[in-house]
Amino acid sequence: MSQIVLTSDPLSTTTAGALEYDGVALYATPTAAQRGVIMAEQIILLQAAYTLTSQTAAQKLFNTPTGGQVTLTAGTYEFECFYSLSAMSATSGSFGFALGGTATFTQFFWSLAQKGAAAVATATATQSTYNVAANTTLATASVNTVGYANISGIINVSVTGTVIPQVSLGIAAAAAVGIGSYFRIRPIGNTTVTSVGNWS
Amino acid sequence: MSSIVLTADTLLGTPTIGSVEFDGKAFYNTAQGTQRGVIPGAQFFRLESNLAGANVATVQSVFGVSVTLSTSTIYAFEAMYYFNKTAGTTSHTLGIGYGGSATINSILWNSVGIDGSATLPTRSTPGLAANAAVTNQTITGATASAAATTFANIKGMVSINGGTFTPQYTLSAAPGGAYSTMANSYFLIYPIGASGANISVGAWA
Repeated sequence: MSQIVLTSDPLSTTTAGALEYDGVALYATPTAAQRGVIMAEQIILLQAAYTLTSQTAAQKLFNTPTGGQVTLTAGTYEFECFYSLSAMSATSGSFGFALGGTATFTQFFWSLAQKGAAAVATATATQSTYNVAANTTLATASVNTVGYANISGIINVSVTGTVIPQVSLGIAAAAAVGIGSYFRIRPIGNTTVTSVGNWS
Repeated sequence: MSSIVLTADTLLGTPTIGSVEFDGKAFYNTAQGTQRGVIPGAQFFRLESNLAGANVATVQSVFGVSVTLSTSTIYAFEAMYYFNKTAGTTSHTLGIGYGGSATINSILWNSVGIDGSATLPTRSTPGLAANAAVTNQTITGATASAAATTFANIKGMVSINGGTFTPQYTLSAAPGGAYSTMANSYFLIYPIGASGANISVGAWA
């Protein structure tokens, strides 16, 4: 395995051209003083549709690998998630998004979701929410059986553990998460980070 | 300090798999074929606690800080703003824009957002705003509610000549009570290349 391994230690004065590591994130400084965090992403995505368990409670969105979870150490992370759903119940209902797992964390995320058309490819108005906890109704309930959501936000992990991207169904059904659905997450810094770079 | 410092020079004529390069503007790596990619080293600002603004109808800073950027450089940026107020019933709108000492060659940005009187709107139809200038762009409808909330998810691209770049917002009228920028609002910005030409990183043809 060809690799370069940096020993972690505290960041100091910035140097143009430097790649650094402080044990929380990697950093690159392209121009004097403009140190930036290298957004090294952990990604999970579906290369085949994943059939959910027929239940209304929140459940994992991904099954590759089986647990659909990522183990995170304490720190602040930015994340993005996109998923599509099909074969939801024809009884009027909505769907939701949650973050589960064993980690202790706070969350802040924005969602752009749609359940207002008979096909996901049909252009139709989306709906937005901003959340600090699980939301079971990202879009108004409808009898349509398909939908999608694009979610992004911040997770602040205070105690190391797993984080599981989850979906909830308003009406239980063996719905399917579509091919191409993904969740990506990248570290920004420690739990109290407020800035990286040339902010003043 | 554990670090690797690369000397800036011209990128390899042909990308080499496994290479990490630096041209003085940005870092690059090549994982497959000739698919060189820019390493997004983001300068990041995140609010740990709410930041109170002012009850004014003039421009003010979203985060209370500016970021100092380089000359002749293109930056990509993303942000999430969450504004909230609890007092004041003078009708107003909220707009966002950018200020600072930097000379802007060009900019293009958009915002998808929601606004309402609840602390956190639920299932609202989002509003889309876009602008090819740093000037203030209204992103909300008018509200005279004491409790008002605005949320914006932003992406953009700016060609800049050195100086400060400041995320800003402007109220059309002083509402009677100030907004706060709420905790966990954030702004990230990273260089992708030199200004003055198309940016083409990777196997584009």
